[in-house]
Amino acid sequence: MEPEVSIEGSSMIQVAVIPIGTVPPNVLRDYYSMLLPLHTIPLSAISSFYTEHQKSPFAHQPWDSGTLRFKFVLGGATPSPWEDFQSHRKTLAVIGIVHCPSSPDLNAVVDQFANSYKSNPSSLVERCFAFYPNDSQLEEGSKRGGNLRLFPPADRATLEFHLNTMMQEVAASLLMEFEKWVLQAESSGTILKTPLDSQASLSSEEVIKAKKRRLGRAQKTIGDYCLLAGSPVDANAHYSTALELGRLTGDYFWYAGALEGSVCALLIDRRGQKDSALEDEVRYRYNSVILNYKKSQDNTQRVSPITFELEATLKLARFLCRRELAKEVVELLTTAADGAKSLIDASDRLILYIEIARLYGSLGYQRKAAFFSRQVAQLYLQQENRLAAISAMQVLAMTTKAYHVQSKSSISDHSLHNKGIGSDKADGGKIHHQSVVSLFESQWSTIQMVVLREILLSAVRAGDPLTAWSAAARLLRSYYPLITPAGQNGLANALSNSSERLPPGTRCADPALPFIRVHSFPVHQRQMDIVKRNPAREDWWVGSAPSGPFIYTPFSKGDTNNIKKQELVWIVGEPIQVLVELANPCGFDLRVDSIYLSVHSGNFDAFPVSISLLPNSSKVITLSGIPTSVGPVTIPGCIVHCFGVITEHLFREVDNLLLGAAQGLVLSDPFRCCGSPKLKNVSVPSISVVPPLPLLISHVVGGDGAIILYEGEIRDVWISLANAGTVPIEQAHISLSGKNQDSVISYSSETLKSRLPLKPGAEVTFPVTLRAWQVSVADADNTRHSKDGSCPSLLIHYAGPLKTSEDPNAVSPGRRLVVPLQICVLQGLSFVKAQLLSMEFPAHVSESLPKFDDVSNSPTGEHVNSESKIDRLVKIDPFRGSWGLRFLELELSNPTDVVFEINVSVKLENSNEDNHLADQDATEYGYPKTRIDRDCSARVLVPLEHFKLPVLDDSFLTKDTQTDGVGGGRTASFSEKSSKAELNACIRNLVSRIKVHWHSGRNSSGELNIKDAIQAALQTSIMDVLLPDPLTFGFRLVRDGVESNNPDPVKESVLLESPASKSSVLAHEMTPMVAVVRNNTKDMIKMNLNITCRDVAGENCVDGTKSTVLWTGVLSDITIEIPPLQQINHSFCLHFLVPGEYTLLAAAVIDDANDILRARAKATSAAEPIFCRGPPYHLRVLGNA
Amino acid sequence: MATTACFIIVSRNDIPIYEAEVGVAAKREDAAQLHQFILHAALDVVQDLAWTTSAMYLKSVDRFNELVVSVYVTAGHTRLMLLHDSRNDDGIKSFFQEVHELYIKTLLNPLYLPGSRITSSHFDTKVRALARNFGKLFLLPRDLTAMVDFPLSIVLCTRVISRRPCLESYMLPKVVPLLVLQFVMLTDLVLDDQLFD
Repeated sequence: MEPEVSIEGSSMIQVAVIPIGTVPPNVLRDYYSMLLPLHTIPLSAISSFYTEHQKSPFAHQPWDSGTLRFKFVLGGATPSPWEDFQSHRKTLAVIGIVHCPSSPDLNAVVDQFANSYKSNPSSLVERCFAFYPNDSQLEEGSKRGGNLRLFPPADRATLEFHLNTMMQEVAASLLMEFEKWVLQAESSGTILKTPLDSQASLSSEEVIKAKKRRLGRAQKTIGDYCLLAGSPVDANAHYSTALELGRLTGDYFWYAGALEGSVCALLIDRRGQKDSALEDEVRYRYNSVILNYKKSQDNTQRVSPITFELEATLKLARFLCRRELAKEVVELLTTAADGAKSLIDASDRLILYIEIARLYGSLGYQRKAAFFSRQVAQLYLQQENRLAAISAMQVLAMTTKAYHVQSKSSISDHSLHNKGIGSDKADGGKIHHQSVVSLFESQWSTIQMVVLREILLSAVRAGDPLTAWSAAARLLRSYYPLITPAGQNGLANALSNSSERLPPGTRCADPALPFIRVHSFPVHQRQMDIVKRNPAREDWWVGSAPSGPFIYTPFSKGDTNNIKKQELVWIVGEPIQVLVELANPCGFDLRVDSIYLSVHSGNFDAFPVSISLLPNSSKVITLSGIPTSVGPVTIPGCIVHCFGVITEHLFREVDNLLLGAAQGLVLSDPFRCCGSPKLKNVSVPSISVVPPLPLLISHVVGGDGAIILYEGEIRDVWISLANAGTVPIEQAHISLSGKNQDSVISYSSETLKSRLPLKPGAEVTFPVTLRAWQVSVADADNTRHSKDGSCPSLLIHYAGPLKTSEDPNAVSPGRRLVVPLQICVLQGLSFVKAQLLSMEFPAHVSESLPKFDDVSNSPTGEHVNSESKIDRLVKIDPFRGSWGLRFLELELSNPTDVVFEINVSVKLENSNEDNHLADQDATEYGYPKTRIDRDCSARVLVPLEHFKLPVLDDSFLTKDTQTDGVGGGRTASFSEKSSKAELNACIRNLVSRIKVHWHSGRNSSGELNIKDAIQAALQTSIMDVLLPDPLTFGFRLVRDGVESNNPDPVKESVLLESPASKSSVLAHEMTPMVAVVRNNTKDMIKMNLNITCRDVAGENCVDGTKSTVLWTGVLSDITIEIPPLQQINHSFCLHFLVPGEYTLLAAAVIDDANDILRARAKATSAAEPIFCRGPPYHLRVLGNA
Repeated sequence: MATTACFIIVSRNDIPIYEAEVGVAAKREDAAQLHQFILHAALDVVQDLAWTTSAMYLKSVDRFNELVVSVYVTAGHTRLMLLHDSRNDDGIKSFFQEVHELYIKTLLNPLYLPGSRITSSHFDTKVRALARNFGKLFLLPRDLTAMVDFPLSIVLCTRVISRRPCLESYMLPKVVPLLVLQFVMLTDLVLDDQLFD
């Protein structure tokens, strides 16, 4: 069989083109390419070379429109046994090609040419074309003449022109030879044989038949020559005769041949016109041709004309090969394919399949074409030699498109662009199922694997390591789930074997392993945040960063542009990092020699890393690099050097793959099968590089570890800042953020500001004062773990010069440094409980009044020196008693392993009634230190005496919010709620004056925060603590008019130094006494005073039947009125009959009590009498019983 | 001996969503691959042919050597393709119709994404069972079918499919006893599994 058969093929003159001498392949190709366009020589052009020797047998030759056609066969064709049957199979001319510079000896060339054309006995015309002869050769050649034609050196156009002329000459010679041959054949007849003709002896009848046949065959052959000579009309005439004779003699084979020739003549005659009538005619005649060829088959024959039948089928198919007639063509081609079985010669089968594949291809049936191409490749592979393997490889490469396994290097930019559109949709988040499906169209994994494996096999045999590598890579990457671990290993070996034959640094368009996807783009480290600068404002950073406490704000949701335009800013010269995840889903150890980010924009230096992946494992690795110049950066993927070849792995492809896996379209998700968790589709943000910015780096002096503090501890921490960038810092501002901001008591931003501008490399250190917060119960369990969340941070906004030299219009951004203060709060002293204790020590009646605090702090009184106060606070004077004194008891325990010392101080404000708050200094009472050992607890008593207000008054109501709370209780018009709030405010004020400081070790000190506990303890009895009774009662012995001389309480207090001598009372003596009643309110109080005396047993010894005390003066129902803030003395005398201990008590019922008094007495109704009772006074009566 | 059959469902996106070798011949890997190649190539023919007829069953559309491709195109352009090596249009047609029904049931599953691979083992079992039943039909040896005339082959088929002795009830009144005897012999012959396995 012959390749590329067509109906018109019968009219083509086969010309062998043979290189003579040594012709370099590329030069030969060049000469051959010059020859190829000369396949058609018009008859009109050859007339100058044509001389009519005899009368031409081609009577109807169309000299004006006819052509001679050539079919050039490079290297010549072996003579076919069928060339008598079809003259176009004969090599009718031989053209030798000589490249003179490489073949200097022209004689040798001529001899060689003579030898080579002698091997083509059918050749009628021989010419030897010698190109680029030198001068001597020219000279010699022109002398020789004969077949040699010299082409002097010239440019290509000239050479082509010369060649054209030479070919016209050849054509003319051929035409003359044809005429000669035809004349000879017509006159003498010729013996024409085919391998079909039996060698057996013929019977006489058959001899006659054979004669007739011979005539027909001669006519047919003459017709062939007419066709070759470009005269279809003549040819047709001869063919008609041949057909007649063929039909008569039953020579089906030659009949079919003549019929074929007649169709060719018909087509040549109707050159270019194709109508349906012609088509029908051709179809009809060719069907008959095929039928006759079939008829001529004889099973007894050794050779079969099946090839002619198949060729005829292919010719018809090629003639009809149009989309509209697809069905018919498919039918023909299927029939032809069926014929392959009957072909004995493997190369015939090869040609048949090639032709079928070509015809299917031109019909647009790519899959059919691929199928037959693969059949071709398999036939090639059966030959087991390198050239066949190369052919197989190339044929298979053509099928890859139909099977969707093509190498990326063969995919045009256009299709890449189309795929890009798909991935853009994927980036958008929502992607329609159908468009996902379209990404994975025609995933016939079984056949795709087979094709790739065959490519690999053929490439290995053909010795093409790159193709082998690429095929193995595609196979491994796309179909690893379908390959056994052993097979995967084999592919890995194939990859490394191929790469050994490749030069180092070879690149391949098809990636192998691993699978790479973006894991994340780490946002700037917190100390590298970039903040847009608003040059119009002093606080230029405001509004540029998310200010709210929420990472996610619902308001940004609707703005899809923001989400899409996820932007990343990188800075020239500052290293960046990208996290990518690698997966090796195969069963072998994967060694990635180097992997780095692939950046096409050229302004980025990527740092390679090498890594090895265990079987079926995935790893997240950090790829880093440094932006080198300003501009956008795009990162489509990674460059990987693995298995000896450099490949680019695009993130987009893996994303599509994962998408397909999610939809069940792809076999497996390489990451999931490696046990990697499902990751959200991370899109590569748009990245831009900006000019260099200053870079502040911070560290805590003394180590960056956590600062360990006990609860409430106060400590200074020094923070050092250094400019690590290349740009000076010109602006800086410090602020606080995060939780527990109040734990930062102070920070010195002035220190930083004073050092501005901070040059590159400069350093500044400033102090920050911290106070540890309370550890809550939940925190206490995992103090060390949760410290990050609860620590405050210093926010330092800083910026370089406003304008950069590169772009004077743009405002260079500032940056933000977050200095997290890693504070680890340990549990310190723990507070157990607080309770209020009241103490009642009765006072002794003496000559002076017991000194009440309120008295000393009376509005008219001066300051008392604190020393004496401290004395009195600590010691309890038995004569004074402690009626109304209350203690706050704090119980503290020390669960730590260090010793704490407690120091309680009470701050006392003397602002009670005074308007001049400003010049009133607070008085502080200190108490001795209490030491609490480890694992011990202790109680600290805090006297609350000093808090009593001197006057029960509603004047505070308007002046002072501190006492408003009390006022609220007094005034019925106040709502319940506000009174409660006021009460709380009052308590808070009280509590804030009590401070519990602690010390531990050398440098730990702090304050215990127990406000809440104290507040809780005081809640119920705050009124008692804070407010004085409306009336103060006291008793005094009167000794010879001392009282009138000595009203000053301060002096009285001095007298207290020797109380024992003065306070004794003798029995059976008249003892004059004074009951002192003081009005603590600002209103006149009218009341009914009663004085009683009780003995040890508590019996009333004044009234009653067995009274042991006699008296003068009035003791009961004394009605008195006391002006506001005044005291009155009520004198009386007692006469004790029995010595011993007595108790004096004063009580009063207030008449017409106002609201204040009622509130103070917690009276529930207005009708209830207000009853005031004084503290008991002890009196010791001496004497002999 | 006719023993090859390969069944495949190709989605409208030309992705094979179900594949099954349902032949009774010993499975050879390269043969299975060839089957897929032939079916894949036949898609070219189907794509033109499907628009020329309103019938879903396109009969045999393509062949390569002895292997014939029969195709059934659903309304959604999903193609059921069967590669087989003997002709029994009726059997194949009913096989396709049954599988189409099964396929529709699969489509109705809300968890099945149209166009994705059918992984239901239930579907697989059913298809293979169908193929086994009809397989006796479309894998009938040619020489045997040649011996049997048409009505008999129907009876034979019915018997094979339904696995119940319908021969007597269906054919006895109409055929000559001698023939019946022959049928019964044939039927037994057909039912002998060794003939096929």
